[in-house]
Amino acid sequence: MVSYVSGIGFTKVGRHYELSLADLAREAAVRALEQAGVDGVDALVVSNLFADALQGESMLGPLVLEELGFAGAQVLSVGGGEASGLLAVHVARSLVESKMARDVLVVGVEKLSDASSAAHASLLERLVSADYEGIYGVNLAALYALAAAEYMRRFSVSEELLALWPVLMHEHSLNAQHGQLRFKLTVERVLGSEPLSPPLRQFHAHQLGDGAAALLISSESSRAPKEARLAELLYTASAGGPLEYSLRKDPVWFETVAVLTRAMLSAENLEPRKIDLVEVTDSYSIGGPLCVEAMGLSERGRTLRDVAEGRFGFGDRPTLNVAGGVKARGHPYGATGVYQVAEIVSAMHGIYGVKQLSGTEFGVAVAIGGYAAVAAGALLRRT
Amino acid sequence: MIGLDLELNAARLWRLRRKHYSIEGARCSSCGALFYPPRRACPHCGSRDVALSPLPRRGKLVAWTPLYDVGGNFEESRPLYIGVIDLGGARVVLPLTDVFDERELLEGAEVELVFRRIVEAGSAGPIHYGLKARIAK
Repeated sequence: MVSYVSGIGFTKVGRHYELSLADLAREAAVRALEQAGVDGVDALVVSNLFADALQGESMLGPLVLEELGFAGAQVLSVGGGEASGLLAVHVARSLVESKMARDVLVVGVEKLSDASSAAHASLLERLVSADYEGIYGVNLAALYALAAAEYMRRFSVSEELLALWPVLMHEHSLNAQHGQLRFKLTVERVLGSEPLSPPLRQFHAHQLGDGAAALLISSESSRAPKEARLAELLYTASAGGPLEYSLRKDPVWFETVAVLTRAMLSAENLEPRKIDLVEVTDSYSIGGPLCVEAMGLSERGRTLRDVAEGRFGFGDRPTLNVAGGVKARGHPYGATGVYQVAEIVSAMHGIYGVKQLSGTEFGVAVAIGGYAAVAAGALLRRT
Repeated sequence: MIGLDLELNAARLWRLRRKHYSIEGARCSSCGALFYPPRRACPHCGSRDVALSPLPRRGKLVAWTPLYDVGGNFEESRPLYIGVIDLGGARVVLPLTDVFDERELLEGAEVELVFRRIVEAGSAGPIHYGLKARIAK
């Protein structure tokens, strides 16, 4: 059984004050459907985090369904923090491979521009343990800050070295047209930005943005013609772990990402060095190196030194976060994992404003939710 | 209050009294791990054979951060100091209090737990108390 990515659509990430959740979702979805040449699906899987809190909408699935005119199709919403987008892809592939659907439309959408930055900091208290972290005011930014502090001490990483992550992400934002922050950044500018939760500064964090991304995941017997297939969705997986920061055996090791990566690569008998394009959720900069190390792409504590030596840039294997990752492309939470897959596939072909990385075969997207309490991923092969 | 803060109704806070007024971890009977918070399955080996285990009220500071990006309930506490502390072998994340000089927040510094106000639900809502850590006197 094989699944394909047969259609891709995404909006620019940014502050779309004039567009609603439904507008954003529709724009991405219609592009994916038109590109695939289909006007009908068996299932719609929607991924979002904060429509309930910010827009007062807890019924996003039917809302998107009615905008697309797909009444009668299966509709479901998946949630797992910022990993939701790739969990939605995982669910879509499950529906296709279990023959419950021939064509599944995945739509990730998020609208954060309705939140003030103080309101956003409150939302971050929902991505941690409510009774043992959030109620004390400990939010996700704080957990990543503690992780950065522990990582930097253990591996003798300076603030200058940590700042290389956002610098690399901003460089990559110029490889695509749809990112939120498309400009180069310097180490000095990162270190001179306002403290967020030191050692983390403002330029380690994503800005609040809106965005939607959509994928048509289909089977051999899709409504879409064979020529529409852009990539094989070889494997998807997810792994869960402890929620609280304090329950990690090692706080600066993402075991969920390690388990997930092993599952994906072993399914196709692949070595990490065979992967051409990798997407990770680089939350607050430190999330990037922690994903990279758990995936076996750098030795522990070495990622930023590898970046300093020129690794992971455009054209390297792997090229990391080709469109600038969470930091520069932006982080419309529920949509992020869907963007990750869309960017890998777009870079394989040089379409939708994403610069082509020639000669690519394999891509891996990994998204994490909370402090990597949930990880989800997809392994793709260019067709 | 900005409407997006965690719900702090009286029943919820009452449910949390034992969890927040004292400090209890759990010990796994299978692998011996001591951990906090006291989940009913061991985060390391998965065993559900775990028992509550009181933690000492003194320990060592492992890491800390001054959180400026605080939620609406904590605006008046900015920056909110948050620490990772080691209490008898269990790692615990708690707010740090009585921070008058950041230079005292050294790795390995001895800390003690004190009973303090944790959060209040607006000007008319309940006030929730619990434990915070401070550099030991």
